[in-house]
Amino acid sequence: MQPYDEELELLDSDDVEDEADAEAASDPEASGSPSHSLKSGLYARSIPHKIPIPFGPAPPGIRPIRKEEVRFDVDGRYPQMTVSGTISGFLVARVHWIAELTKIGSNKWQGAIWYKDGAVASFPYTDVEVTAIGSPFPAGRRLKIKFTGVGAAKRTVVYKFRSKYFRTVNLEFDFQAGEIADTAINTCAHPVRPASLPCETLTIPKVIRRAGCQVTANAGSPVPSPPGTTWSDMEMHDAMQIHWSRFANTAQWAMWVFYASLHEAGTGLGGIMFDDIGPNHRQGTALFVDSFIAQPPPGDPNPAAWIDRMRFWTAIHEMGHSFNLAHSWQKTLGTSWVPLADEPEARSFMNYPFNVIGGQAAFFSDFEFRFSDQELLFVRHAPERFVQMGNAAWFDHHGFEEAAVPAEPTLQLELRVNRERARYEFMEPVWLELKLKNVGDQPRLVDTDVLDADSLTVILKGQGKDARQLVPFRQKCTQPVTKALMPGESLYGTVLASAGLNGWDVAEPGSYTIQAAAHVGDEDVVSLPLDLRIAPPISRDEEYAAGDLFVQGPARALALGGTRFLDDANDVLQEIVERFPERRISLHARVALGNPHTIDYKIVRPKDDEELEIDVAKADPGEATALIEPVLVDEAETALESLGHIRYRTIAERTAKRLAAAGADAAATKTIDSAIDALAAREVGGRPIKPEVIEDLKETRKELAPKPKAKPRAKAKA
Amino acid sequence: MPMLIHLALQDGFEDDEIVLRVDGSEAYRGEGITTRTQISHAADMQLEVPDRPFILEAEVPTRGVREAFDIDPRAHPNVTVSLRDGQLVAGFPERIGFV
Repeated sequence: MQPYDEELELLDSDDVEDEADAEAASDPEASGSPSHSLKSGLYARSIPHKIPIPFGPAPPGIRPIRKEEVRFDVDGRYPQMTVSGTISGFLVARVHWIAELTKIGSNKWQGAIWYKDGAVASFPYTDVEVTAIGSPFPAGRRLKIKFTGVGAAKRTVVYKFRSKYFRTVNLEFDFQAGEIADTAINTCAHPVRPASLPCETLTIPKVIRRAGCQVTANAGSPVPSPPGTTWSDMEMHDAMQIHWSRFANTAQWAMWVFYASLHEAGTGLGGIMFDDIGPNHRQGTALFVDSFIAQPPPGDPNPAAWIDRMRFWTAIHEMGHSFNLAHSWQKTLGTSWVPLADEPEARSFMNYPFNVIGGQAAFFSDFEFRFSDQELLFVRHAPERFVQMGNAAWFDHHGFEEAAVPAEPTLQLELRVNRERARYEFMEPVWLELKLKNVGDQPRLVDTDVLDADSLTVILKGQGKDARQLVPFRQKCTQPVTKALMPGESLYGTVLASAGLNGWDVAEPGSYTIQAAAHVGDEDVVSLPLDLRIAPPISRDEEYAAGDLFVQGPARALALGGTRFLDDANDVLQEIVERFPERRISLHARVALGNPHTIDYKIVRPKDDEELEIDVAKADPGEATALIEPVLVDEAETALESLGHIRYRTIAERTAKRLAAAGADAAATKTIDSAIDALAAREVGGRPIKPEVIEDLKETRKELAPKPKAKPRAKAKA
Repeated sequence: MPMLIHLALQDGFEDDEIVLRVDGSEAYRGEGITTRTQISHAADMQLEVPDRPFILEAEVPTRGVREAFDIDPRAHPNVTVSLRDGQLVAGFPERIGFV
C-alpha cells in the first residue's frame, strides 16, 4: 500500500491525464487500440453569448444557447453505449438528453433519445446519429451529431474534444488524529478474488477515474480528537465545516472523506454518508476503521488483507452515496431519476458483500472493484444536479444545477441595494446595483456590457414560491467591446428586478431572495444571495392601484425610461403621481412620464395598410422639468435611495444634458447642481459616494455652463 | 435454552410503530421507527429467541401490515426485516453491519 501522500503528489501533477492514457492503453478491457483511438469523453462547444442561436422551436422566453456539452461513452473502461448532452442557456434554462447507441459503421453510431429533462419543449428531437472524427491529438478530435425528429428540422452540431472524463471531482481525505487514511490496496493481496482480476495497486482516485470522473485531490490533514473519541453525525458535520478546505454552502463537485475510529452508535456502523442535513447534502462521508469492518470472518485466509479490502470498499461505498447512489437493493425505493431495477446480487461497491447469496466470500470472489452499469450510467450521464455533491438532496433523483465557477475565482460580483436596509415600499420598483470587481492580481478582459440586464442571469425567489428567472424587456445585439479590468478595478451596473417579460415577479408584499450571475467567457461569476422585503400596502387605494400598475405596459415604461406610445401605461403612471405623491412609486412614475419630453421623440405609426410614417413629438423642456425636477431636485435624497445611486446619477446627468440642448439652461444647471449636492452628501453604511463620481458630474456641469455671449465688436468710426 | 439473534429493521419505515413477536409473545415494540436510507437502518437489536425453529411475527400497526416468518436461529442468526411495496420481507445476511 502506498501512503496517500505519495499518491496525492501523483494526482497533483500534470501527468494525471498521461497516467490515464497509459492505463487505458494497457487495459485489456480497452478496445485493444492505442489510447489515441479512444473516442469516449466530454465534448463541447462554446457560443459567444451575444449571438442568439435558437435550437429548434423555442417558446418565448427561452434564452439563446450559451454552452453545449456531450458525454460520448462507447469505448474505454465500462462503456455504456450512451451519449448524453446538456444544452445551457444561462444558469436556469437548460435541456438534458440521453440516447442509447448502436454502432452502425466504423466511426458511426445511432440511437433513440430516451431521456429528456428541462426545457424539453425546445428540444423536439427523438434520434441522434453520431460520427466520431478521430485524431492522434486530443485537441483535434471532433464529434458530429445529427439530431432528427418527426416534424423537426434536422440539426447538426460539431463538438470539440475536451476530456476523456465525463466529470471532474475533488477529493479530500482527512483523518482522526492517530488514524491513517489508507486510500490504496493491493488487489491480489487476498486470495478470494476473481481469477481474471489484474494484480495492481488500486487507489481510490483510480476507481473514481474508471467510473468516468477526473479526480483532483487536496492534501488531507489530521482532525484533532482525544483517544477513544467516538463521533456523532453532528460532530462530523462540524468537523467537515472546520477541516474541509473546500467547504462551502453550495453545490460543487467536491467531497470530504473522513477516516474516523468509531461512530457513537458502536461497532455495528462501518461508515456513513452523514451529510443529510441542511440545504446542501452529500458533501461529507466517513468510515470507521475500528468498527465491524476491521473484524474479518473466522478462518479467513488473510485477515490483514481482508481488513484492508473492506476498509477500501467501505470508503468508496460511502463516496458512492455522495454521488447519490443508493444501495444495490434499494434502487426502486425513494425518488429515482429514471425507473431502476433492484440489483440485490450486484458485484458493486453499492452492495453489501454479506447480503448476497453465499455471503462475502461469494461477493469478493466475483468483485472487480467497480460500480454496476446502472450506477455508471447515472454518474456519467444523469443531469448534473442529481449527481453533484450538495445539489439534489440525498435519495432525491438518486442512482440514476451549474455554474461554471472556477476553484480560485478572480472576479467577484456583488449585488446590492445601496440603502441601509433592503426594505421597499409597496409598489416601489426594485432597482438593484451590481459591482463586478477584479479581486485577482492579473488584468481580466470583460465585455463592457457584461452587467447589462440582458447579459446577466438574475434569479428571483419569493418566499414559498418557485424561483423565477428575470427576462428583461430589452435584448441587445451589439458588437462586443472588451475592456481590461485591472486588479482592484470594478465595473458597475443596474437592473430592474421587479418586472420583465415574465411579468412582475418582485412586487407582492413579502420576502424575496435574489441572486445574479455575470458571464465572462466560460466563467460564471455568481453573487451572494440578496434578501429584501417589500412592505404591504398602507391603504386599500394602494392595493387597487397596484392592480393597474402590475401589468406589462407600466412595467415597460418604468424599465425603459418612458413611452409616448403606450397611452394606457402613461395614464396609470399619471394617476399614481396624482393619487400617491408622497409614495416612492410616484418618483419612478414622474421619471418615466417626463423622460420622453426631454428629446424630440420619434413615434412610428402606420400610415395606411402598407406604409409606416414617423411622427416626431418635439422636446418639451417645460413639461419635462415640471415632471422630473420634483424628483431630482426637491426629493433628491429620497430619489437617490429609491432609484439607486447609479440610476439617479445617470438620469440626472442625461436630463441635464438634454435640457441644456433644448435651451433650458437654468433647469439643466439646477438639475446637475442638485445631483452633485445629493451625491456628495450621501452615505450608506458609513461609505460615501466615490469622489470620482462627483468629479465627473462637476466636469459635466462645466460643459453645461452657459457660454458667455460674445460682445459685439464696436463699429469703427469712419 | 434461549439464544440471541441479531435482528435489524432496515428499509421502508417512516415514523412507524413496529411490533415483533416470538412464538406469539411480544419481544419488541418501537415507535417512530424511521429508516436512515444511506445505511439502510431503522433499528437493530439482539432478540432473545428459543434455541430451535420459531415463528417471528412482524407487525406495523401504522400501516396495517403483518407477516410471519419461520426462523431457524442456528441456520440464520442474523435476520433483517424491511417494508417493500406494502409488504414485510425478511432477509438472512451472513452478518449485520451498516455502511
